Amino acid sequence: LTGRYTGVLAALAVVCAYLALTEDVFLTWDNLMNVAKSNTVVFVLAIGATFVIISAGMDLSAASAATAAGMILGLTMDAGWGIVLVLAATLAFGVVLGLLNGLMITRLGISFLVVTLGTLAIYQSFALVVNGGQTISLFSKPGFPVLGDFVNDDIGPFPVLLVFDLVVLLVAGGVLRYTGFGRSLFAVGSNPEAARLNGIDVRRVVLIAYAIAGLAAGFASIVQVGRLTGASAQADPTLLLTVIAAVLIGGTAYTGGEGGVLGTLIGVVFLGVVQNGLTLSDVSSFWQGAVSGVTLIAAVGLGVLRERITMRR
Amino acid sequence: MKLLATAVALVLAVAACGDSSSGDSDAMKVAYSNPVGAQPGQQDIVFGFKGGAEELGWSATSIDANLSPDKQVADIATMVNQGQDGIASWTLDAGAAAGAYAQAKSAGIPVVGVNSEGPGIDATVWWELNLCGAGSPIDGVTQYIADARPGAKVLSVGGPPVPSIQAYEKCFAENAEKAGLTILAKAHNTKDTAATAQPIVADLLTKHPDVDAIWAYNDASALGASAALIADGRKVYDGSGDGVIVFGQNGDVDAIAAIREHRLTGTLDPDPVATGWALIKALSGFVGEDKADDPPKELVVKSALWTLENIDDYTPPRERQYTLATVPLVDAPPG
Repeated sequence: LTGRYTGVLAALAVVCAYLALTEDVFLTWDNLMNVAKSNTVVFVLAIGATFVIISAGMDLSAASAATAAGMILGLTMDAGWGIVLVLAATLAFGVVLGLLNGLMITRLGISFLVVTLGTLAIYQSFALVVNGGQTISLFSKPGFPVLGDFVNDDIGPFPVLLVFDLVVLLVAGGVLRYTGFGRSLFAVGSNPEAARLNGIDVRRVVLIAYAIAGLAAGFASIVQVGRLTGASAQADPTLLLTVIAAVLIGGTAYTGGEGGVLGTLIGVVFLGVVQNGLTLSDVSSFWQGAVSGVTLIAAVGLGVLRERITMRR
Repeated sequence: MKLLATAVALVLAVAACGDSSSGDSDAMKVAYSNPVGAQPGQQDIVFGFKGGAEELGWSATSIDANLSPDKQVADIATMVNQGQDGIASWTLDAGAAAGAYAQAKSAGIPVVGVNSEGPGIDATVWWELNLCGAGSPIDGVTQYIADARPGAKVLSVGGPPVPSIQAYEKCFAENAEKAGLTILAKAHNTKDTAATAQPIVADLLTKHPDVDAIWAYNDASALGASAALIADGRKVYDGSGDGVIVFGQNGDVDAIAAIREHRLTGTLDPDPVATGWALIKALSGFVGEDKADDPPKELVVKSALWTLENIDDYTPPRERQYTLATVPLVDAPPG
């Protein structure tokens, strides 16, 4: 855990120590589990974004895709579909949105910034259009208790969502570290031309990375809808920035080819603890953006500094 | 010769078109500067605005500023250039809009504000919800909480730093104090969605587990608070028994559904459709056949408090039957 994570871990330790001293409730089990549950949506989206950023891309449509997938969940459950079909449709829809991004980037050769900036707007519009901008209340629908249990129940002392987060972390980490696709992803992110000369199908690897981001959006939408007891057509306007900030704070290089899901977890925890701490300390939430922004610049700046020092050696 | 005949025919045709449109120009044209068209409440204001205009035989349009004060200034200028006879506007930034309103005034076009006052505005249609003091809707909410839970401990969830929202928060705090309530914490859901309110309230619940009531400045924030309570295994008060009281504002469709599902205690409904009708009523004092020498400077649209107790009487906004004579207006309460 040295090197890439040192800066953010040190900052996290300082913040936690300060909050533990000033806020009695901070270190209580309930509060820590609350932080874990409240940040699951960010975490799942950030895992998807980690794959894309390692490939030297960026998915600006992630939060909008999650909102759009949430509306599919809402509409299908509202229409009386069984819960298994509802969840399958939601995840499949997320993957389709990711594939659309990937296909436009890899087959049409359009910049990932242009494509995902465009689909950011398109997916958000879709979410608004399909139900006239209205939230779909699911609290009384027959399938909702399954979703409600998933986001609110515990397994022993641990929330189901925390177990879910750990499973996502292990699967994503395993894919990155122990599969050919994972190794190819790092190679493509580092140097796509060299990767191609080594026989890697660069377009396929990038396409899969965006499909994974879409799948993550599908999972995030399930958690979000469950927690809000309904599908909201309005996305959190800063969710995307939080997701990308978490990935970069966690040491994944925005230039691609470097990073990992453990760092992303640390980034999500850091931002989650900061938000929780600001609320518990009665600090105006107007400051939260400033704290996140300073942390992001500091974390990425430390990474650049570390890289320069390494190169000099 | 044939070409000349064709040209003459074309000129006559254009002239005829001009004549026919000049007949329509006798009808009054009014426009509404919509601050954010995507919001259902604003769509309802436009619906009422057009309904009121239709009763008078006027034509009505709206332009969406999409939360941009700059665009709103440009929109007002466009309305002036279009030769509108009257303008209604929900001001996003009074300072920025003052110049545009002055431009309208110099063109002889009256401007009626919605919950907005300031330079260049001739009259204002207020929501009763925006008025504070004894007997006001927010006073009614604090009294409801005090009656159900005397001396209740309350969380206040405000929103972005907009003057009207800050006024709601101040009004709630003043009335809560008068009603003997204790505000444990004041949070701000600056991002204005249920998804962002939920973690804020979840954090506050760990610090203040003994909370009796949560007041939120809008329904999205109240629904986020409700979701946080449910996730924490708590019940929302529905008028009887135990549970945490949760109030929102706006009378959104999903808030009404939540009241029916026992997930929200109540919401204050400002009646946006009636607001649209009231705008036409206010404008008719300045232009058209009912033009008055001294038109009213303020109209106050009645707000309603919906709870499980009276939710069966709720009529969706667009099914409410109003005329300019029956639009529900009230006198401003003292304070």
